[in-house]
Amino acid sequence: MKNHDFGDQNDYFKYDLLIFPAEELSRIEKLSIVWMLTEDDDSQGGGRSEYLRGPWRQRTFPIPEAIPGRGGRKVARIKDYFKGTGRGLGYCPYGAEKRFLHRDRSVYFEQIPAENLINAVVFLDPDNAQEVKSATERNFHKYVKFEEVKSVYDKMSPDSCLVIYQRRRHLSFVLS
Amino acid sequence: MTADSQVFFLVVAKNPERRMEIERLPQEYVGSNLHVLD
Repeated sequence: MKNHDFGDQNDYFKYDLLIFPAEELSRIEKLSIVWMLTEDDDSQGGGRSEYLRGPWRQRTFPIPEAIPGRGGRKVARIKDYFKGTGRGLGYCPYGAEKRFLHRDRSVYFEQIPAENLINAVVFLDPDNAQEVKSATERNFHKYVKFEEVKSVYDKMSPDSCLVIYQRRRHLSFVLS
Repeated sequence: MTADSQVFFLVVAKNPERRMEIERLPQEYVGSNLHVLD
């Protein structure tokens, strides 16, 4: 995740997708986001801001309304939503204010607080979804490794659920 | 439900009870691009 992408229309969709089940599922107490924050770059992300107000988005609409221009965006600001309109849902950020580096990734995942994974909807937010064979030392920080997904899953409490995203062109899944 | 046709989301539940609960979320919300695994 990059700060400059925070709150564009695709990013806004993500919060809508995460907050709704976190509020609706039984025994879920918090939304826990592992940000995997990377440095802003010259990519064109974050530029789209046509926020659609669908039936499930009324409650999350304060998020884009409160987001500043592209240059002033920070993922850490999502906490304001949970303070003001989060309806009592807890929010447990991890890594919202420190950069995720490939060389430090083992420690990064080991240090996710255990309480963040209890009765939580847990979301991993790498720039480019799950690892691909073509990933290199230079860009691996933009991917989450399969073993990291598994480590988070293994540490979660039984009532938690893990949300990850994937790009269709990279991998095929067999879904039962 | 999808923001981008190239992207989809996986929800990984640890137990069948949670999976069923997720599948009971309104279909307008879940749609065909939210896959639930247990």
